[in-house]
Amino acid sequence: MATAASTSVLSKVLVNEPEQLSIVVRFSGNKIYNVNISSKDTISDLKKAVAHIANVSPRTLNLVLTGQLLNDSTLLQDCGLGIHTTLHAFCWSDNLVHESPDIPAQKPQLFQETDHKAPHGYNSRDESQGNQITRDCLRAAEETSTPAGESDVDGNDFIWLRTQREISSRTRPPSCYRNLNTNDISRFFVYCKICDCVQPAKLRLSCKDCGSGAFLVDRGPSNWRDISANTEIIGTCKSGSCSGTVPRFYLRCNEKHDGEVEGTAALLKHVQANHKRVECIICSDVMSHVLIFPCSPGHVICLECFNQYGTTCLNERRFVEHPVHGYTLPCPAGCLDSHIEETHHFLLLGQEKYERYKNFGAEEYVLQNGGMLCPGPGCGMGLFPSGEGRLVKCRECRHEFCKDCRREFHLGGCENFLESLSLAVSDLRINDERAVRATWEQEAQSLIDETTKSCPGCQTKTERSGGCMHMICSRCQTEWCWICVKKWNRDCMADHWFGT
Amino acid sequence: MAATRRLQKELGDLKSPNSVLKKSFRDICVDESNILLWHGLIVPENPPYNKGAFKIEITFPAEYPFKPPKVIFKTKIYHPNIDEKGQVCLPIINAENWKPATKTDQVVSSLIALINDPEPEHPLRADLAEEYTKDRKKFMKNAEEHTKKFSEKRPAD
Repeated sequence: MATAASTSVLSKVLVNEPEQLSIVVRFSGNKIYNVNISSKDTISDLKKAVAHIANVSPRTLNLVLTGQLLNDSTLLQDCGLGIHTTLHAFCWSDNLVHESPDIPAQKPQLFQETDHKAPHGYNSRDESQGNQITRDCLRAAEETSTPAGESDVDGNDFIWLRTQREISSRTRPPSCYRNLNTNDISRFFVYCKICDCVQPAKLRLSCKDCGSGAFLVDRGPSNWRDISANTEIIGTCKSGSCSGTVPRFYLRCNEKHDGEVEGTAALLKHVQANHKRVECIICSDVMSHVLIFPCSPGHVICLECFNQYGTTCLNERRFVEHPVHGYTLPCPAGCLDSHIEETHHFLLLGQEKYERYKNFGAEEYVLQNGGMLCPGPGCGMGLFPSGEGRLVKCRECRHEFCKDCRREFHLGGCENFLESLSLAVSDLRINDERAVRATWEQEAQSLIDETTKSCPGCQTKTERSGGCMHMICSRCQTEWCWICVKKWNRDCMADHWFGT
Repeated sequence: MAATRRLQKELGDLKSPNSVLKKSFRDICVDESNILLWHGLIVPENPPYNKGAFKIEITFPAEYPFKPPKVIFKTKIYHPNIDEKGQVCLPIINAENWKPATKTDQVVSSLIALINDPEPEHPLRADLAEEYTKDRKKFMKNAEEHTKKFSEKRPAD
């Protein structure tokens, strides 16, 4: 799936032909107009068309995309508009139009507070916040001053940045932007649950209160926190009587989905277009789209190898519980602080494995926090037994078991109970339902006993599939000897490391 | 498959005249039908093993490089860290230490370093480790005789 995704996003061809766009303009929240227009037309042309249909003056009309006003001289093809992109329109009130010289002061002040000393470039990740967007913005902002003709394919950047550039009206976008297919402009990637693969995404925002897209922000986002639910960015809702000041950012798959609902596109913040043509740390191929780990060298892995890496680690239960980022993986080079920070990235393993990943993660959380998993057949419910007694009753499957030996609950010591279980088999009485049940469990148990040994640290039943006798528990990390079933020691190393 | 693509590249690098291991790891032989199985010749620098050369076999799992390769000596060697069956415990390819970013040349370098400088603290053959620590002279003599008797011929150049 990830492979398909990496090729699907790659296969977009860069074109410079005019394109017929069908743009949806949502006016004051409830009126919707469809406008067919050429990608070579400007925002001003679009405004005239909308004003004509809506019967308002084009001078009072404003178009908003991602919280930013669109500038009249901007070409539509430079706005990153998809075929069915929705723009939001509102009118300045008459007196505002009258005092039009003041309008620029009300327009968004973008990036004024950005730290221009921050290093730019993908690989310098020394800041505590993952404010890669800032660097990208800065980098892209610098690119605006590069001489025309010096084309760089990595010119994809944010819509708000382009808007900002055009509001400032100093330069036209460099030629590389105009050569890019709108689909390639996107810098964000999401895992789209509808497409079931990685897709470029569009960042959109709406008013947190009324949900209208006619919302102007005071500044563009400059880090991941800015587009999170805890954003510190504020703005003004332009929708009717709404007085909302807080925007809500969200990402949408670049593909048009009918009846698209929220939550179908999960942000993959570590995934990027490989514009620097860095080779994959695993297969050393240069792939079009890669995942960049948040370690200081910024190790790069292609999406296919990431899938295999995650799958192998999942099968061996080698994910780690990170105090901040949850059940996750470090970069394959094992760098410190290289853990995947957003667990949605494991959707890249496919939805089936993602489900398993979530189960393992939940189990790991229970075990790491002193809980236990119900040993009832097919249950595995996470339990945090309270109290002193050995009896634990699962609230899910009602199975009752002994806290010490994890077998079904029994009176007396665990050792005695094991002996009595053997007796129960030889002493089977017909019509005794209880005895039949005990036999069934005993059989399953003896198969497990034959093929596994219990880790001396945590009692987890462990199967050995090959290799030396030196076992390391994947749950509690105890190092133990398969032959002695004790903690690994020098004698084991000397006598039977590779068996007797 | 990541394993095939990567192993082809690694093989190319190891066979290249620029390889830093070109003197100490040579005659690399890989069956075209199975790139997961390599054979090669280790040519150690340090006494007592510099009197001969040693054949090794490297087996890569299908999940390579997410799981480590295995290394086996096909030539008998008198060494505290290599047992009679040719099994060797190399920390770099232990499951718990393995990093998918580790390349085969690093594994072979680590192996050559272990051959040249035994680690009696982590022995596979406790008797040889004891001899190595307590009576180095005797160990050297035995190991040299063993090498002359069982090892492969060193390449001429």
